Amino acid sequence: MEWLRLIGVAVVVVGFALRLRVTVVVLAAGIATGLVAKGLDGGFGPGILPALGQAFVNGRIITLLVLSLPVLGLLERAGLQEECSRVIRRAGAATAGRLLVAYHVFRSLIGIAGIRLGSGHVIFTRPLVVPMALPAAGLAGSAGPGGSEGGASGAEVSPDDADRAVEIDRIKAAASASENYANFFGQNLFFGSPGVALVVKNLADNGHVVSALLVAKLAIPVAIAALLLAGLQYALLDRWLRRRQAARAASPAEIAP
Amino acid sequence: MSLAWLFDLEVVYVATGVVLAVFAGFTLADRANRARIGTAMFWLVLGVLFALGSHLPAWLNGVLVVILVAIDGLGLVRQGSYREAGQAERAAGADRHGLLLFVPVVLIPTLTYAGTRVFQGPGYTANDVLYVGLGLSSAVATVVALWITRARPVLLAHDGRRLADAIGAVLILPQLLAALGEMFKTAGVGRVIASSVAAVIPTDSLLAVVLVTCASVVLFTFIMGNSFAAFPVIMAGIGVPLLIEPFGVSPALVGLMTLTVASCGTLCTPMAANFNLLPPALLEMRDRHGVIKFQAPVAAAMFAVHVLLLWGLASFAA
Repeated sequence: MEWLRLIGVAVVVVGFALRLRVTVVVLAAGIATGLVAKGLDGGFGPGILPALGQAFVNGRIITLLVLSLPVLGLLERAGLQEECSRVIRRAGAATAGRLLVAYHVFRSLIGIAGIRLGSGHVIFTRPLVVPMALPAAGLAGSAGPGGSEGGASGAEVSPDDADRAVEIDRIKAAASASENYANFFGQNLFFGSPGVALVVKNLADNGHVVSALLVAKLAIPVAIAALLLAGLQYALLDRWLRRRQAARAASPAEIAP
Repeated sequence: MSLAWLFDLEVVYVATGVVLAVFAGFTLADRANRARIGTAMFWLVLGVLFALGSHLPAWLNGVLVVILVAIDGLGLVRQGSYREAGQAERAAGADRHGLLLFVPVVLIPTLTYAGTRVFQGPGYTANDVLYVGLGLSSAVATVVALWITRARPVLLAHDGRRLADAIGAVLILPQLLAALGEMFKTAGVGRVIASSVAAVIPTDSLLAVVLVTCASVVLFTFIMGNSFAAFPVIMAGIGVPLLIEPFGVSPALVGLMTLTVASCGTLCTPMAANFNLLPPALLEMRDRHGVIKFQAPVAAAMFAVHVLLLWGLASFAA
């Protein structure tokens, strides 16, 4: 009956597959897991509801980004995204892909320096990277992350606008990905990082003493491979954008009167 | 003089709770939001969990979490109106303030980092300094932004609420998934996976063991949404007894590669909501799985890189 412990995993898989509301699926998976464990072991720590409440409260650190939302929102109102696109227009050679390479390197350097910042998506990607990457890809008129509201609201959407929306979505995805790639594969370059500490401590617990410096050194080929593979993906993104824009220029869609 | 007393996470929890309660108050007055009562309740309950979570009984926190999920489940977390600035107003702002607009944005990471350097040593917990520092830096950046833009402070509530509503209930997902991970751990999900993999693995081929070690830590990370939770389980069940000890592979090599290959799972799973689902909400993307779809090919390639590196370096050293 041991495999019954995996019921929560099954609930998540089915829930995601059926595209049910994610919060509900996760809660259901937690409760199902607790019920099964309770049935198998005859008890589940302090009880399912308290365990859930305690774990949620213990995770509050993850959601501290709320504190930076007001100032970032205010700066957007004051023209931060417009200023980002002006800076990019002044730097003539910028493309979305090149910008993401630069961000990837910058983010890795932050990791090497041992600087931990919490979510880079909140403090870099939304206020800076996306508002610079969109104009670099010639999609400036569509404003920043809140792009959809910038265009022809209410009016009918032309095929060109639908095309651009697909491109904007892809650039936003790429900007988020560059933060994740550099964060995941770059942070262990610092010998004091939590990841390296986890490896050293885990090996010590299992009877093997290793130096943190050696572990960090082994992260170098990983970080290089990540930069090369991601760089290739950013270059392909640029090519994809160029081709689509060339095709659009060749056959201009009718402009609604 | 030690400022260690300041770096108590309770400070930022209460501050976050207050901010959320302010969002709730403004939401209640927002007639453009068709579900203003539900949305206001959502932010208020979350604010209570933040401000009072350390003091309420655990079962009550659990009930509040269920209420949050119920409000979202009924579709009652929606967007309203926030006195948004039009294109012209934003362009005029950029004309007026120019590069000064970057100052508060740059201040947040800079001050956070400076805080971790200044406030260290006995009495200071690195994580607490980091997160309290992040909160304080946001506060300083807020004051500086108000000074630069001369905006009325009430706009902070509208603009903060605009971003919070844009993210919506996805905001609580990372925390909810972390809680699910804890439930999995208590229930012994990792034990079941590691023991069933260890039972079927062909233990005489180095490449096969490397492949299975990498694949199982990726799979388990995909399920848990967190490589740090998957890593110890796979190391104890597979990495140490089946790879390091019988083959004499460098422990540091196995440890590092097992940890970073797990990130390939993180890149592909909706369970890692703060990395993969929060960004689409925060950036107002149309496809909520767009980030995962974009990352999947690089994750697959990085998986292959890890297998080759681990296998190659292990054979080379042996």
